[in-house]
Amino acid sequence: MVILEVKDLKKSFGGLIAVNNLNFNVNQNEIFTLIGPNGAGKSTVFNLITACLKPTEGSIKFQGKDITKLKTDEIAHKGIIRTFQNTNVYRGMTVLRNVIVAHHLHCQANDWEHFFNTRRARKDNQEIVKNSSDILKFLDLQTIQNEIARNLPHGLLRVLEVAIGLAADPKLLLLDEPFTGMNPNETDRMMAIIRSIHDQGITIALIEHDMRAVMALSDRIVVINFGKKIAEGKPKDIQYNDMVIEAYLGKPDEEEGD
Amino acid sequence: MTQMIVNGLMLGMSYALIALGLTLIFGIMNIVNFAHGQMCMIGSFIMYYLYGIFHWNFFLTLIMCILILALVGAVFERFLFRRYLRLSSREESSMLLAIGTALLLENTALISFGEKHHGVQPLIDHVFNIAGIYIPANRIIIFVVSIVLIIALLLFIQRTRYGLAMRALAQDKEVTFLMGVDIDKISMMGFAIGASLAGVAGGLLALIFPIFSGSGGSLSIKAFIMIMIGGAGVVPGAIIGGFILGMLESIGYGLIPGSATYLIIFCSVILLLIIRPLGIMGKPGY
Amino acid sequence: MKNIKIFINKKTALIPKKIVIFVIGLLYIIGYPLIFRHNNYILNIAISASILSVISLGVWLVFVIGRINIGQGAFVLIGAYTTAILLVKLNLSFWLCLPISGFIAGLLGFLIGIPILRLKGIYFDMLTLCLTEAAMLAMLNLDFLTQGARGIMNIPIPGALKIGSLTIIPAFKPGNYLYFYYLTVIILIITILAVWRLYSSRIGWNLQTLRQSDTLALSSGINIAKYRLISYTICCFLGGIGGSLFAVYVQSIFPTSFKVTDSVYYMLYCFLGGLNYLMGPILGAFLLTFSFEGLRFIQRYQEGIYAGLMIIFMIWLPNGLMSLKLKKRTTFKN
Repeated sequence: MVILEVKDLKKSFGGLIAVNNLNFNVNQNEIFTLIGPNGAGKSTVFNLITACLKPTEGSIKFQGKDITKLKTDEIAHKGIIRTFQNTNVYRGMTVLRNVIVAHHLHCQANDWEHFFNTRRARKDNQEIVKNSSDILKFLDLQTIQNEIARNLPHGLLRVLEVAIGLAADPKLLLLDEPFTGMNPNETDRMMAIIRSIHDQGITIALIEHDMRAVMALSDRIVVINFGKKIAEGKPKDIQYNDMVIEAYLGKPDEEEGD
Repeated sequence: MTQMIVNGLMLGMSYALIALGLTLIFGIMNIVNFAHGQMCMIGSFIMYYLYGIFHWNFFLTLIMCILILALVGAVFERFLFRRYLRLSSREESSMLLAIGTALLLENTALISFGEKHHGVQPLIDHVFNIAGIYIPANRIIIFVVSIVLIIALLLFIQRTRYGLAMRALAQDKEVTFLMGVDIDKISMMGFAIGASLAGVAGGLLALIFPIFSGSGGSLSIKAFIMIMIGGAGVVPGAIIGGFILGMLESIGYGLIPGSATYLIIFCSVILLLIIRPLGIMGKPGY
Repeated sequence: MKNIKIFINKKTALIPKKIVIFVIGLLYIIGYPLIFRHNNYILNIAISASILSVISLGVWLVFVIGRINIGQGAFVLIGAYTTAILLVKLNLSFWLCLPISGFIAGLLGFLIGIPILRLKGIYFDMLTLCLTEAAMLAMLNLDFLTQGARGIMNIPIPGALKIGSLTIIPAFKPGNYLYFYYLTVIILIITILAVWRLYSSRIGWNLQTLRQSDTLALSSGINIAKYRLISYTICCFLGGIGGSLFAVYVQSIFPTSFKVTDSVYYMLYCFLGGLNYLMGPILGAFLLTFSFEGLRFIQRYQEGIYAGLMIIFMIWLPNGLMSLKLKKRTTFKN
């Protein structure tokens, strides 16, 4: 079943066309990956889906409903949560606080109730604290839960980002280059995390360059270059696709041995 | 009406000088120089004492305005802002530092110069009458000197190595540093030039406006309005902002009695910013 | 004892020694006026400091979302004029004027906030600076309402608050500043509690996220425009309340009563006490007001000394006075 439909998506910045008539679907509960050479427009696609940018043309449908005109926080309400390529966490807060704060969408009580600390608000708070602990345990972060975020090493920051994403109760989680800057150990850990999130029933869409991870994790891959889709299919179909190889490596003008 | 427009144009040139100084400092160091108005005020006092009382040559006094304020600017950068920008945990504090410098200058001036309003003798006591429009010779001189200075500044920024370094610094501090540019020196230069622009504008305006120690506050506000209108950190924005404010002020004071002019200007600025949140020529990234 | 310390640690980093401060506060409020009952001079300083604290707490709330509000003076002026006009021209009871002034200031803040909160960093800062000036010009020019440059004088002191024949608050006696003292201090305490409640609730967390990363906040589903507006509106409301209090305390109001310099001072109190701490602005306001009044003879240099203070503090203690306490605690923890 299709959870996300991207139709005829186009984005131009003045004369530069970043995304060009892009069409693809993401199916429920799959791990979907968007790959392509640098500058292909992948992050732009994520930005368009989450309304960080407005599309020039085209439409995006989530669970059958059109979300093209919605704002970022409204889209988050619908269940699409993303992480960022340049690690975006609340640097001044502790790890635990980061996750707690991200539970905003969880709350049943509204702002007034929270101000007056009504029973519903207190129940919310209890649930949030419990849920945050669960998420931290799930991602093996509970030992550092009182560390200030800016003191963490890069690999843990990215895991924290995923934690923040999970706190918002996503139906579709968009991960923007989650493996960037990670050593092989961290990469393995992140892969395991992504797999467990997937097992929880959450659909995951990735942008990634690390081919080992992409090939190992993905159910389906879409390759884009210059904002256009050039290939789509299962990992093994993509690996030997000529156009994909050409996009990444260029045409072989001399046989230097690929 | 045409009289008002002509007045506005001439005033606008000097205002543009003020705006350029502010935008320069902001562009290079990412600090809003709250003391900018006070620096103009100091320039006007330099003009008052050297030209008005000691009868120095007008143009020589202008040069003194430039030099003295450049020194003030360099000192501020070197001893106050440079240390500071490295220390704080919140960026807002640099703003407070800037405000502190403004209050310091104002209070020092108040104590040193007193509260009295002063004026200086005109440079040339003649009023031209061209097609029914009265143009005092003073204003023409101010206008011409302002243009010359603006052109000089533009040439400096566009054509010299230092100007290039400043533009680079405004765009990306880290890369410029990695390219081997002495950031500290260029920052100091930038602040000094910005301050000296304020000073020379103050000196020029001393010919037509009253000189008093409290004038800094309203000049700072005018400078901010110019930047908000034209866009922060961009040179053409400052010039446009300066002109527009000069025009609005002249026409406003001509048509509307009393102090309602600036009230209307404030409201218009808010409206402008609603439509164009970065000012007319502002670029995002500030 | 150790349990209490852990409890305090976890609760909020804002009020480090919450219980200690609370007790000291209580002593101050009760004991202080009894000691100085006949010393009007000191009572007066305390009254000013309390009102300034309320106003600065509003400015602090805007610092929480990462914005700098240099325009609080405008709303203090608006609040003061509202109260003055209602008292003098309509003979309304002060006890009505107070909330109405706060409400009007808050409403204007809300309306102005909608367009200007969208502006980037320095445009917002510069615009708020201009707001104070604009308010002054508005009061100057709206003659029919505000009597322009003549100002409004002989503002009556608060009368009694009666419900039916029950006197809840007795009429203020002229010359007896004890009434004003209790009024301002009680309002300060209520304000502190309310702002603290706000800050510790979910609303407060969301406000803090705005300072750190608003893209991330958006992605978590937080409506950043709404929360910015909440913070700014409350700030302006508090400004209005402060202005209203000043109006009946000083009993006269002019367009120049609150200037840009005042807006800057409110910020200064926040910085001095420490931006990261809710009690920061209050500490700053009290400290400076007391030390200033005490050193009356240097009033002339007030601006300059404040300026010097600002500069010195920014260079040597950029996180305010309360960070001194924080330094001690982190070493203790380690």
